[in-house]
Amino acid sequence: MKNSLHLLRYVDNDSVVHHLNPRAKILALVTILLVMSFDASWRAVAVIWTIAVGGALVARLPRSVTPRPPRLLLGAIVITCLLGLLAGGEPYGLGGLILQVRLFAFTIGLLALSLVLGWTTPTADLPVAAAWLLRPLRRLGLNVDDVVAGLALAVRALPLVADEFSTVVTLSRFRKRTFASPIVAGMDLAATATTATVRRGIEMGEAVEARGGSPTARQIEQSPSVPNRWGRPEAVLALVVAAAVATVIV
Amino acid sequence: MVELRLREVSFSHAAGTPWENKALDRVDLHLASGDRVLIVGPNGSGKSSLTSILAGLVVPTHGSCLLDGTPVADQPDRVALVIQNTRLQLMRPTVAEELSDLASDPGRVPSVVRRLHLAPLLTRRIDELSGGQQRRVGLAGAMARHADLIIMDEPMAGLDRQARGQLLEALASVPHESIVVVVTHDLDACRPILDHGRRGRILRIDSGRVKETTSS
Repeated sequence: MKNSLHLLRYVDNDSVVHHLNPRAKILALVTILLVMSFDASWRAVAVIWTIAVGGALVARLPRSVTPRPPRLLLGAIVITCLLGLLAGGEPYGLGGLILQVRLFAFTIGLLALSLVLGWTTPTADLPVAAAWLLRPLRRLGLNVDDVVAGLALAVRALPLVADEFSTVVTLSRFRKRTFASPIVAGMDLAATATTATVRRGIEMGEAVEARGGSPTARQIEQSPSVPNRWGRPEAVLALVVAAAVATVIV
Repeated sequence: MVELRLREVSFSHAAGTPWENKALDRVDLHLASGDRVLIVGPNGSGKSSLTSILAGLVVPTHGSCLLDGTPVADQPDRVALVIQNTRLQLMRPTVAEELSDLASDPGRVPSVVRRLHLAPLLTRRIDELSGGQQRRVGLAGAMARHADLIIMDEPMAGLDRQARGQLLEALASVPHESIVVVVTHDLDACRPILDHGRRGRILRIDSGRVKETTSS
């Protein structure tokens, strides 16, 4: 289990990043994601990694949270980089390779930022922050209640579905291995994972119905366990985000 | 003669990370052909971790789990695990396809079908089976694979009296040379399993330690 990817698992520390208002953290993340996506330059890569590593250091996250990339992913990255190398381009015929490396550094940096948010924010706080963030979209006629309820359920269901999928993958080792078995097994796993996900969805839907329907986005947003405080730490975060955006745009 | 030996087995979930959680602490266990073992204990006592180690799905953090002297994790062909939510592990559309897919030798399937009275279910779709029928098919798959070690996790959970009776009857037909390990919360419902083999044992596990061993 060591170094496997732990999504949405809170690391219980006493740091300023942990105590930040989750609404501020998710607003910062979304702002950075949106702005940087318009310009995946080396400068953007540097900014993203600076914030991710800086955030992790301030949050005093131990190095052991860092996941080891799956071999499949590493293999895909190597193959893609080789294809980029074959594409040539300036400078010195390395243009394609440099582009691929930049895109990977950019994408993995964004993932690292999201992981830092997940490791420093209790899972139950995320729907509260999302409800607050999506509130303005209500004016555009978007059904924010359904979106937030779906998000809240998805966050709750993710560990269950991941657990079932992991069970299916693990148990597949007991099956006979043939030349075609990786393909057949892949299809079987996909079908079983879909079935498990749908079943979890139905069970959760029934549970929500049984307790009189899902709460509205406003009810979720006003959760008393997630105080809506805005102070100096949140102002510092806003300054960091503003500086990051300015660095990339200007 | 099959021999399963656990020596000083300890296991921690997410070892070396902030989420590390010790589940098993220096467990010793010796099982042999014909043993019928019930593992009981409260939630969070380490039953699931012990099940995963016995099945070779995870490797102990410390110690060893050996089947005839070789790590059980290296011998998936000799181990079968029937999980509580058996539907997850039945991957073919019909019972007949599932059994023929799992069988080590296709010639074994008819005898397994006969012993577990599965003939009426052979053409049925897996999705149409009840929970008890799915567990019987899971057990049939284990027998068709000729597994030396068969592990069942909470086999009686959610079954009515008739389905429990059918499953107990099916478990009674597991060949004596196999080791059968059943993890359960319902000791009374599973107790008849102890009489099916050469030696019946009840292991109580609590806080990651095997506290008591009762032999019958």
